Amino acid sequence: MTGAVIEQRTPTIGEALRRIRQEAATYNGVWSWLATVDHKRIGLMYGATAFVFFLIGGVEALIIRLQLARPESSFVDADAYNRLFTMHGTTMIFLVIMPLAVAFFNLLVPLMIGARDVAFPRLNAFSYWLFLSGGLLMTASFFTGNPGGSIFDGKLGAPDGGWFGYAPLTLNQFSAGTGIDYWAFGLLILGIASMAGGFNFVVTIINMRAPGMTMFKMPLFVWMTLVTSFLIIFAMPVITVALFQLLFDRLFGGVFFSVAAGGTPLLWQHMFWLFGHPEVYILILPAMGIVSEILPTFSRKPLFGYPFIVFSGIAIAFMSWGVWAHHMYTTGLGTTANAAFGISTILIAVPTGIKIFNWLGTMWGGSIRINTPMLFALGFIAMFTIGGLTGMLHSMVPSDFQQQDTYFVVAHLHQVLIGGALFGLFGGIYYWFPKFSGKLLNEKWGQLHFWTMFIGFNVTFQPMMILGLLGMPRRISSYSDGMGWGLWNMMATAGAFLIAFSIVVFMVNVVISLRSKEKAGADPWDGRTLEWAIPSPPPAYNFAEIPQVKALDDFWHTKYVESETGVPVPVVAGGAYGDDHDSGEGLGIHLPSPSILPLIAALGPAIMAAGFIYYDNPWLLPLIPVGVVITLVGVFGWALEPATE
Amino acid sequence: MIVDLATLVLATGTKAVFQNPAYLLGVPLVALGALVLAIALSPFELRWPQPINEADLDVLEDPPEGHPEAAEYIKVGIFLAAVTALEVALYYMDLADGALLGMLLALSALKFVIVVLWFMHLKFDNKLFSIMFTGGLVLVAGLFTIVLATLGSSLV
Amino acid sequence: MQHAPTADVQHAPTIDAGHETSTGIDNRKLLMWLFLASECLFFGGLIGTYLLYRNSGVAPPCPQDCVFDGVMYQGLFDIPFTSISTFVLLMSSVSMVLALAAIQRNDRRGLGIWLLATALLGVTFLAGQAFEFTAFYNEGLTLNANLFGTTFFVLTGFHGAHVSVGVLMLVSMYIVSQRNGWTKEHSLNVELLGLYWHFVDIVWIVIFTLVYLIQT
Repeated sequence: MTGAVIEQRTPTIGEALRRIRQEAATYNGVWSWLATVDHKRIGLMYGATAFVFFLIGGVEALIIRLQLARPESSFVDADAYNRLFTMHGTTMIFLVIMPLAVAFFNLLVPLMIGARDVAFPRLNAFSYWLFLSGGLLMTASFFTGNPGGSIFDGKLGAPDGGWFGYAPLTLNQFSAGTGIDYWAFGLLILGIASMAGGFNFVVTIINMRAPGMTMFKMPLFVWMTLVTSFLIIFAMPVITVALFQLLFDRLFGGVFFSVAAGGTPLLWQHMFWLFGHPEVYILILPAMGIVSEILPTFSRKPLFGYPFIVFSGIAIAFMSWGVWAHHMYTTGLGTTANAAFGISTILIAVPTGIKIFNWLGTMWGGSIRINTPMLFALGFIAMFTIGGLTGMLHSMVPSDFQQQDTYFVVAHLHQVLIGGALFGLFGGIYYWFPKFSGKLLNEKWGQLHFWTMFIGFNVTFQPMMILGLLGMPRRISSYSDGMGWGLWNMMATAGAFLIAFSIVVFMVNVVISLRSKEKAGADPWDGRTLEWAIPSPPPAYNFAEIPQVKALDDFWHTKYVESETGVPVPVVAGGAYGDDHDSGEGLGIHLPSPSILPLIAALGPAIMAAGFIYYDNPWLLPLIPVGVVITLVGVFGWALEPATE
Repeated sequence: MIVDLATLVLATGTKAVFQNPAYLLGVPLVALGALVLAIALSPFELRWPQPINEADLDVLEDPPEGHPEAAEYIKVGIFLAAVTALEVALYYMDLADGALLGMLLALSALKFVIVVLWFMHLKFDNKLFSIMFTGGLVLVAGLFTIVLATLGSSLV
Repeated sequence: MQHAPTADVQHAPTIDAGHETSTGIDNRKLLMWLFLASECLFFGGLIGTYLLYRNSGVAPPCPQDCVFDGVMYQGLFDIPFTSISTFVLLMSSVSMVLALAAIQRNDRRGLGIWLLATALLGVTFLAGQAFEFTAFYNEGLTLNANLFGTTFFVLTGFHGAHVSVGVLMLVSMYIVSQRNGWTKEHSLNVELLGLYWHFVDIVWIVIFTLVYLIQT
């Protein structure tokens, strides 16, 4: 039988792209994730990716702790140790805490301000793919960065200059191989991703608020997102310049940080900490925002001193630009500079303290429920306060001369970043998990997670405080038996494994909870902000009808009125903002169409970076133009395709 | 230039490309030209917006409110050119270092402000833009003044 | 639905798009200004580094006449030449606003002419820069010759890269505007590109004074 031969025509590029868009718009299958521009899906991808990097960074930490558990240990050699602690720090800061915070920005900001998406959905997807490619590029250095051999010969290739990469340690002279190149290019790409996100969220928050939601009716988390985004916008370019300078020195023989040519490595320290100190607040402010949402819900009271918390957040952002040199007291800045930066550092504790007292005020007299999110929020307040107070000890110049480069600094920064940022972020995960999965996380497993993590955290890092005061320097791969540091180090290692156990508990909890049949409902915590007004998980279009906002905590006011004695009384049939529909079609809502082009555009920079790293190899040099072409194809296609069909 | 570049690469390997900074700039320029050509002659189906009714186009209208007319832009341009000429003239005059420095900085700032106010429309536009842009400028000027001061450098 | 959904407003007629936002400001214009504010920090870092290392070099060649080991070296800067390329870039800003003024009056042909003129002036500036780089290179100033070479080439090179991107966008905009028959409804696109182009110009105004003219 010979029927008519149906001609198989290859589709044009335009047709192929359109097919991807159509497929992605059905919200099923792989394409719908690769081409998604939905802020909720992008947020989930950010969160999942960051969690994978969290596990990688956690394994690095456990190896470090195993090495230090006993004196004169030889679990890993000094070279591998340097690479491990560098990647542990870089991974945890740039690939875990920042993207986890961005995951919350993505998931929550449009819902909290009553919008259907962010201002630039495709730019948002671009940010995510750029983040992923930057993270993968940096992690790839493990395999290929070592001049002595690959990871399969037992040689780790990762960068070895510490997370703040001080020149001249990072110059060719002291760091052969390509590890630092991967690190610098990786950070450049991550920086661009963060800046794109920063622009997007500032525009979204300034311009996309629901009618009636003035700036001072926004939830506090949105405020902290705005402040953090501004910090990102202004801080990232500075590190971008510094990284370019480092790369010019390493790759093309530049002399920016060369003392022999008359330059000064202190320039790197200034540039790094000009970025680095605002970065500290980029890490902590989102967690503060999350805690400011959890506390009122579980205390069943409005946030105490809302304007004070907002303005102290803004004050922190401004002051964070005037404290960078407290990382550099021992570099010989001179007494005047040291005194000035000491004073500004002490002053920045004031707005931080204002926040803590207002959180305590929020709980005061409230009818408090202790659920897992609340436990993490309380853990945040306690641990962050300790972290902040140890920071105060560093602000005093004479005291800091003693603590510089000891474990006291390591203990302080982990106290702030785990006890602060990570506790806040885990609180956020427990709090908003039902909103995006439709299932509550199991309470028993959650409490087990919190308590093992809380105890493990204190058993790990309080001994480090003591080790620092005993004079143990940071970044040493081994120490002799006679120093008397063995016991405290063993304790810290045991604590680290308890933290690891708590993370396993968390993962088990996620699996158990997702498999459970019980549905969470739209508003499981009796929440106050707009995201609880819509179904869990939210439909693609978020709000069937854009809410009209009349007050701060508007959703709460649709559920409760205040009686004459000030007690909240439920409103009959309150808490509904219009009815539910399965799809936006019937409602006449046009969502931005999916697009694969942000993904394509985001592939280019990492390919270019690989070309630059290996530019003296004529076979790999062409990666540079290939990367440029891929980026341009992506960007041009993006600019020319319509945003919605 | 391409021939030069090819000879250089053949003779000394790819690393030599980066020795002469002119190539760093020249190669992108050539690439740029090629790309523009490729777009102009592109066979791909590019789904651009539909052309708008030709009939509408013959009507020339007044500029929207708040935007200056072309003549005003040209006047501003002539003024900017004059200031630049003055700068170069000052450079060749035999002035005291401090006076020259002050005048050059002032004239440069004047040009900067005029371009921002007229060409970038900050004079007519939303104040939010001015606040953000000035914020960035003040921040970077302040930060690097402190960095230069602590590292013992100054303009004079 | 009285509220339009969130979307890139890239291809919607843009002149009124601003009225749907909370502040009445167009999303894309806000994005562009945020980007420019952020770029201030980027160029500020590069210029700051140049200023820090002025006169710190330990080897010739130098921008202005200098003496090393009793030998006098002639300065590299050719002020008349650079003045002309500065003038060219300044005039490109004028032609850019004229392009905007043209499309705001619905004059698509004028838009095309001025866009091309701007691109041409930009390319002239870039050619001047390539010539200058080559001349300096022949005088012995390489990227790794001394602090002046490193800081000068990286600062002006990044500026040149920004101009190149601008030229690419100008030419693309010329093609798209003529093929698709842009009207005044599309003038925001031109305005945004103009903001970028003028920013690159004011960065050069600063560089010309701080790097070339100031001698001490």
